[in-house]
Amino acid sequence: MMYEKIPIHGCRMAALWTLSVSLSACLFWPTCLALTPPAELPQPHNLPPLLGFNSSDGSMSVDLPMALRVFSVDYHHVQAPFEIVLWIMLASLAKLGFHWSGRVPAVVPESCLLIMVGLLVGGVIYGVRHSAPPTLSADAFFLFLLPPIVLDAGYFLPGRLFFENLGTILWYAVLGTLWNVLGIGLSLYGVCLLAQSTLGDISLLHCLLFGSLIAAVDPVAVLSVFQEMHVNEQLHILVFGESLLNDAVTVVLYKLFESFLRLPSVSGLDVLLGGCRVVVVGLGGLFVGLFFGLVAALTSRFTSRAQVIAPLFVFLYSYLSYLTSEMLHLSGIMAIVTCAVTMKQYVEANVSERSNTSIQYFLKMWSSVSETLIFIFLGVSTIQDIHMWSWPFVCSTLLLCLVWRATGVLLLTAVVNKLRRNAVTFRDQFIIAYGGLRGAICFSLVFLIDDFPKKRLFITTTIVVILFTVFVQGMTIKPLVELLDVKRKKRALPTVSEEIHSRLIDHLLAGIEDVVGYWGQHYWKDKLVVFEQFNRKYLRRFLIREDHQARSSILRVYQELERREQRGDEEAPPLRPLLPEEMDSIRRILSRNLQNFNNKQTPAYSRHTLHQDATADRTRRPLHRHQSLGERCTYNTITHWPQVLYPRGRWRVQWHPQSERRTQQVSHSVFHEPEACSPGLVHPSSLSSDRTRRSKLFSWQGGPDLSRAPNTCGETPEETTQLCFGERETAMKRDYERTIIRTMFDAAAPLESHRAAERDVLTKLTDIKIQLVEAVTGPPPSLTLHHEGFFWRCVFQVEPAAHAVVATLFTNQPDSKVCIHGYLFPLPVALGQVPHPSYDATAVFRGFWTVLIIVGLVAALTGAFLLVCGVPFISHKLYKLGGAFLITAACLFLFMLLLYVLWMEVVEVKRYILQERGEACPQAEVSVLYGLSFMVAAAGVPLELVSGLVFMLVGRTLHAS
Amino acid sequence: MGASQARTEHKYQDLADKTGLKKKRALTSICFMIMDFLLPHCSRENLDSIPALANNPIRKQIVEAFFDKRNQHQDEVGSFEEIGFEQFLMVMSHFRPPTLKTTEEEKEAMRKEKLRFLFNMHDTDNDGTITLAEYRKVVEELLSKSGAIGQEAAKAIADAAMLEVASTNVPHMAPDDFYEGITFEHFEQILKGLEMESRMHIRFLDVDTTTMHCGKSFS
Repeated sequence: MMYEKIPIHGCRMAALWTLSVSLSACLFWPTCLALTPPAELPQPHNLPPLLGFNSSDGSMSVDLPMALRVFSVDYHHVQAPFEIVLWIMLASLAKLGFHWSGRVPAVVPESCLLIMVGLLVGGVIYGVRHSAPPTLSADAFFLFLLPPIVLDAGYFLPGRLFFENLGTILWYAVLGTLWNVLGIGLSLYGVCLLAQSTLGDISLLHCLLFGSLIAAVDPVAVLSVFQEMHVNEQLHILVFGESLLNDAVTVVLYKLFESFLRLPSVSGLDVLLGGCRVVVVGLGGLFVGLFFGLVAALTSRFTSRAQVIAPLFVFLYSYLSYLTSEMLHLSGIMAIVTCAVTMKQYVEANVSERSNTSIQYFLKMWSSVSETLIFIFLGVSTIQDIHMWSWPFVCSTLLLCLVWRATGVLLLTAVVNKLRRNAVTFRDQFIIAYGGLRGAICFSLVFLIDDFPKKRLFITTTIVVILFTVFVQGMTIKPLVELLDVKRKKRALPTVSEEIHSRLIDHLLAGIEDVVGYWGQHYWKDKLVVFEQFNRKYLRRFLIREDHQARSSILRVYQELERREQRGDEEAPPLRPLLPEEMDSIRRILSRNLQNFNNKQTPAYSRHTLHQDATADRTRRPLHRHQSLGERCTYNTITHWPQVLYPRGRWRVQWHPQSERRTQQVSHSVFHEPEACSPGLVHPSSLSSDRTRRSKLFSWQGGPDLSRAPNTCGETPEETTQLCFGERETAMKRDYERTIIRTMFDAAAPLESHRAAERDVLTKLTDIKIQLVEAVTGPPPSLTLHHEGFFWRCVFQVEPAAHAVVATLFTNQPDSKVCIHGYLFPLPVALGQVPHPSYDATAVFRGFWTVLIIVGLVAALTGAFLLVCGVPFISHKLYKLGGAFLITAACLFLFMLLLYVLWMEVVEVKRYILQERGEACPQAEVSVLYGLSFMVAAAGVPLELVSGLVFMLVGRTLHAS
Repeated sequence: MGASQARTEHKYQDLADKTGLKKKRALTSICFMIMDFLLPHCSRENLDSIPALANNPIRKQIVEAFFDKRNQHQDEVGSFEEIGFEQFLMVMSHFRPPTLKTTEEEKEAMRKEKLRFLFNMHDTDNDGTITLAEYRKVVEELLSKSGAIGQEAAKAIADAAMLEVASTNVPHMAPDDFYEGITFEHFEQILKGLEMESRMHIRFLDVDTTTMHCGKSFS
């Protein structure tokens, strides 16, 4: 009876999932047959009623089936969909928990965590049922889980980039894959021959078959790792495009070898036919996709009357193209990608904006759900009975995968670099080689192999390779990208000017090439106009609704602005950041209407978010000037002085109603945001509202009428570790009774004029009676110390003195200390946003420290405990064990210290800080000192090591005596 | 005779240096000499009539760039009536690709040079700023071939771009301020994100083919 109760409770508990994984794992154990039903199904029973009002009745119901029941449960009836929904729920909740978990995403790729959740669930299922948990069947994977991911990838393919790099991508995808398959297959056969005794029964064809499936770089794994890395777009498209297209090749090769295996003998003709087949499969998929894409475009032309179902056609036709080509044994991946690329521009023009949005959201939703499911199932299926281990085979496969991929990339790049416009640098090559992650495709293919004695070995090896690539490579690739200093993607969206000019450059180059008479790359790009004209003349006319006059939002906004101006609306600000929708439409206009490829230049391919998302909150804002919280609260005090106290200012200067003189208390110092480093005062002349301001009034460099003042930061010679300390909005010290006026003092003036300015300001602001407490350009608080402890990170400001740093460390710490927790806080100093996108190498280091220090402490304490227990020399074992624990702890601490030093010296903390600070504060100096605790730890390690050895020796002598 | 020949040779070697074609310098300079001798000077009409250019929306600007004295690496202003091979080569030298060996400073210089070329394309009246009118004109030209999109949109885009330049460079303009135009510094600033040095180049297979193709285009 318990059997059926659980899902019911489980359903309620599902919401609590994030609290404990094991809980949800328990709830799934009887129901884990989402995709492949296990042998024993729970027999359909009727549950005893759970509701109180008819409990007396209910206990009878099992025995008296004839009676009319008020309440009954028929789990069997809903079993399959119910379980599928539960699985999806588990996957989605896992994903949700992952994204809520704060800093974890900065360190570990999502795929790893999902696999870990899967492993956990699988382990629980296995432990409870003692039978293998369900595996992901190949059919379910290829027919249901893979298409959404590939469709999403195809639909959001950055077309321009992709087509620019198409040659290289094909080169890698086709030749590189062949190279990998043949290389791995043949050398594995060599390994099998060497280890004749254990692996002798694996034939060459089996090796090749295995090679073809293990060489498949998985787009799902690659995407899920690379989307978080923000490498430059070219590198991204190379890796991503390769992984997308090489699936087609590997699947075809796999099928080829499989059919060879079934043949009694393989002749040269068969090989030739197989080669033809590869081409046919690829091109066939292409044509199927093209056909369905055009049909979809045509259909979408007529959806204006039933807009609700318009998005459906996108999915239906692309899925149909996938299924059709699978049916014809063509490459479904090629088909669905082509279909998506083809239909996109026409569909987008035909359907309404809302439908477009829903298409995009549905695509993202489905792809991310199926990706999550795939990873979870990967973890779940790992735990099973059928493993078979062979050290030589597994290790050599792992090694060969790495070696052949690396050599393949190196060789192919050497060739391709001769022809490319932008050479693929060595660092990029390394990332391409290293980013060859294996994933679910290998996994499902390996289960498809016909049974033969060593199939279990293949399965085990595949799982090991997948786990290795996803975990080890996937987790280390991010720090490696940091260390190698691979060129990053621009984080911001391209500006309008950049958009315009990149087009301008394209045309310019094409024109120049025309003049020179050289048919280069740009020449062809421009000559695609022929296609473009064909497209415009026939295809677009045929496929796109004519009455569809979408007014782009830029025009709308523009006209609205003009109207406002005509009304003389004062609210309309002259300077307004461009809204994202405007940017979007500008980009769309530029990309649609310039003679080029007709593709939208998506800024980047992002896996799970549509790129409007990041700015979605801003789109809803009215056109009025942007006001943040701090501004709003003080806005009314400065309304009469709007031109000077401009709301975009960055300075929070403290005003105090009572004290006349300046105080030098550090704790009352200026808190300002990281944009700048020295406070300044507005020059009086800019306060007056004379018309000279018609020239460029404010600029950071100081206008013609504003005299420049030295930067406070770095002014005094004795300061050593001065950083411009930026306090975030949420900082402490909020409880001061003070009025913060954010104003913009852009150009600093010398002290004399400051006085004048102050007076000027004060006289102007008599109605508020506030005074300047803090000297805005007085002697600076000078020395800012950042203490980067393991448990705490503190910031304090001290008077610059010769021994300031040491004094602070040893003796009294100043009152101005501001401390925050620092356990897993990834950044060296609390600057900017927390998991800083450009600096997550530290996060990894921090993660390691945490683990190391905790394990080390535990080991040391355990060792000490054991030794204390063993004091009366009762047992030599206790001494030995305690000594071993101490030595282990010493090693762990040593490793941690090494990591710390590595982080300090190699990862360039200084450079990071300077880079962060450098713009605002060019003279900032950073000096990094190792602290007291570091010294203690460094001294403690040998001590611990020696004591551990001594105790071990004591134990040995005890044993001997 | 000998002296003058040496002078000429020197001149072409200089040319080869200046255009950055340092590899195969001797060969190049000889090639240049031959080309210079063979090629006729050409005027705007010649370039305008190149059929391949007909479809290019910014044809006018491109042609104008060849005749602009500012693109000749000399501090001259104005425009030529007709250009010879030397001037042609000077213009082409703006499109050198960076090699793997190029140092950072060289790259920076290259970038500046390329940006200056672009800037000059905008700044037709050579007053050091790109005014709104000039910017609008280029954007209109750029969009002119695309039919569907009207003047209005071009204007809106140019305005938006201008607004953006103004807001990034002069972030704290007072409400009644007027942004006059984009100076070169602002231009540099706003295009910081574009990798000019690697984008704006034409790859020629070899120096010799370059010159050979030059000949074809002029004939």
